[in-house]
Amino acid sequence: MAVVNIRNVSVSYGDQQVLNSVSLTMESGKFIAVLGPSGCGKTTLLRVVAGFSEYSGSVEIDGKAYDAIPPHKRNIGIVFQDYALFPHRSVEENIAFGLRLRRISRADIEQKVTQLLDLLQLQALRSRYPSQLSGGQRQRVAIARALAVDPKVLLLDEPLSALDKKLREEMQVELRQLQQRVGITTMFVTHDQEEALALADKVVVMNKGNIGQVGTPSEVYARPRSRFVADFIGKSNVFEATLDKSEGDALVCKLAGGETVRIARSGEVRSGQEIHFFVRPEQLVLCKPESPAADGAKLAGIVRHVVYKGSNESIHIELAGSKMVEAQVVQSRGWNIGDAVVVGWNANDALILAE
Amino acid sequence: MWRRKHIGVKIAGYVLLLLLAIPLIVLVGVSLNPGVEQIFPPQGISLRWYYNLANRSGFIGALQLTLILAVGSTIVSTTIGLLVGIALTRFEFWGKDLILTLILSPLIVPQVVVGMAFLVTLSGLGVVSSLLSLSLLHCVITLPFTARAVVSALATSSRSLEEAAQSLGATPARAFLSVTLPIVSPGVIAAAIFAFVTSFENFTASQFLVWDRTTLPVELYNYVQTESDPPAAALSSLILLPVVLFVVVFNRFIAQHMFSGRL
Ligand SMILES: Nc1ncnc2c1ncn2[C@@H]1O[C@H](COP(=O)(O)OP(=O)(O)O)[C@@H](O)[C@H]1O
Ligand SMILES: [Mg+2]
Repeated sequence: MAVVNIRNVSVSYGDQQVLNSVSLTMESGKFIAVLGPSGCGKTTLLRVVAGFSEYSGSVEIDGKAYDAIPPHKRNIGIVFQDYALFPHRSVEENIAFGLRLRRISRADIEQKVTQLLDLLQLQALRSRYPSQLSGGQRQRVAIARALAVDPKVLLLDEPLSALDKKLREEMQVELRQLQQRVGITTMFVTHDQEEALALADKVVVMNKGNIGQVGTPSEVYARPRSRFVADFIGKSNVFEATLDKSEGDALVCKLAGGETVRIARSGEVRSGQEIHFFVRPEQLVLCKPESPAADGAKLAGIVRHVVYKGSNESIHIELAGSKMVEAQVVQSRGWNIGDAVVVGWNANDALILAE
Repeated sequence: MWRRKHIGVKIAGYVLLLLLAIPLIVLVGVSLNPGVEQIFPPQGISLRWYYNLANRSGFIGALQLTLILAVGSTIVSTTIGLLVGIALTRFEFWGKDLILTLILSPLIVPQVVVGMAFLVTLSGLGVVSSLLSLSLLHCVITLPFTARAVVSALATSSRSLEEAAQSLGATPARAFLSVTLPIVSPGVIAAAIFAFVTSFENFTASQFLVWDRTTLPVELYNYVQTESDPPAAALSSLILLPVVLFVVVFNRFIAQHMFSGRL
């Protein structure tokens, strides 16, 4: 088990700053998800830790500086996005590759390989070649190969993105269980927020080479600090408003169209300040006009679009000033396109975005 | 409908093959005649004219020179091709495209021009035609095949394979040797065979640089200028041999392994 400290790491290609002074700690045995849109620098961050990318700043593992250590001496397991299995070697030979480089006796190699084949349920495939495996099997081989040399840290680059939805969900559970059983400090990068929330002990949200927010899955979901994080993790309806006054536990503010709404109180704010706040789609409350609305707001709108999703329905509503919002409702009241609707929320579900 | 089209394509293919093969079959047939007449089908099978060839020192000498050139230029151009291929695909430097274009240019420039250019340049430098100048020429002619094969093989072999090997403890050199080389080697072997055949059968450019020793294709050309008898057919058949070998090896070995990713 190892603690990884990434300090002020910057990477640029030409004039493009790909990582911008990124600092991050990976606690021993924890599963960390780096989440961000494609092109934000996730793969580059993994390559920095593995030693494949030039960078400024420092990477420390268990207190030791790794910056001058070449990749082959770092002992960091990495599973590439394309798995990078050696095509001319069988499953068994792929897994044994790192062990064979290490002057380990044949019997010990055999034993370790068998143990990993068991761990990842690959026994039946041991003499197959990568071209004869499915995507999920390839991924398991790549993980087994990386774990074979008992690395200090395991890095996974979008490990599930090549799999279809059903397999992806199965593998999520498997991956998490495996990581806990092996107890290895793991960083995995993904652009899929559901995956990050489902798997990780800690989520690191990245945007354009910067870390936007670090926190537990529930923290980043419930208390996003920026508009980017709010938008990227789950859907959200963001409003611009001007603060008026505080009233008990709530803040009263005015939307651009002049409507008065109430939102949750937070931090230091002053009257007249321009702010952004957001409400999750599942926290919007829809009512027919004239019926009692929620305490936070009472905004008139028209249903423009209804998407049926099986267990729930998503209703797209146009408010005054052609602002579109999305509400998620569990049990349909039978909203139809063109219906007049009142959109509201409970004041403590509408949260200010700090940045 | 589809089936009939399929058969049509097949028939057209066989006719084409036959058209290509008939002159070659006739050639080999003629060379097997026991008599001096050039007739087909041969009136019996005899290796008389091959023995006859073997007794002419000119042909034997030409065969020696041709083999030396072919083997030498194959080794040199495969080695250079490998180094250039690694440099072009693994490192970033200025003028990459220019270098590749230069290396590939003998494929586009007519062989007559290549031969002429060598002749003019070398005599300008005071170098008379010799084994050295012919060797240089053959390396230049064969390099496009090897360099191109290596570049395309290395470009398609994913960089992350070597990095994966390194993350498992292999030095960069070890990673290249144990991961990339086995993957690209079928393509490189195919290119080497191609280079060998290209050198072996080259006539157009070589004729400019032969001196009192000639290569087999040039010798054949000189010979049929004055005579046209079964030894010429026997000689032509001999030149065919490596080409046929090439086709067989190419089909049996390379085509099978080049695309499966497994050795
Ligand atoms: N070797 C490279 N040369 C130039 N630009 C690169 C290189 N690798 C990555 N980039 C650029 O860096 C940015 C981040 O890439 P990457 O880390 O792969 O993003 P992600 O994995 O989050 O999709 C991208 O804009 C990409 O074009
Ligand atoms: Mg990536």
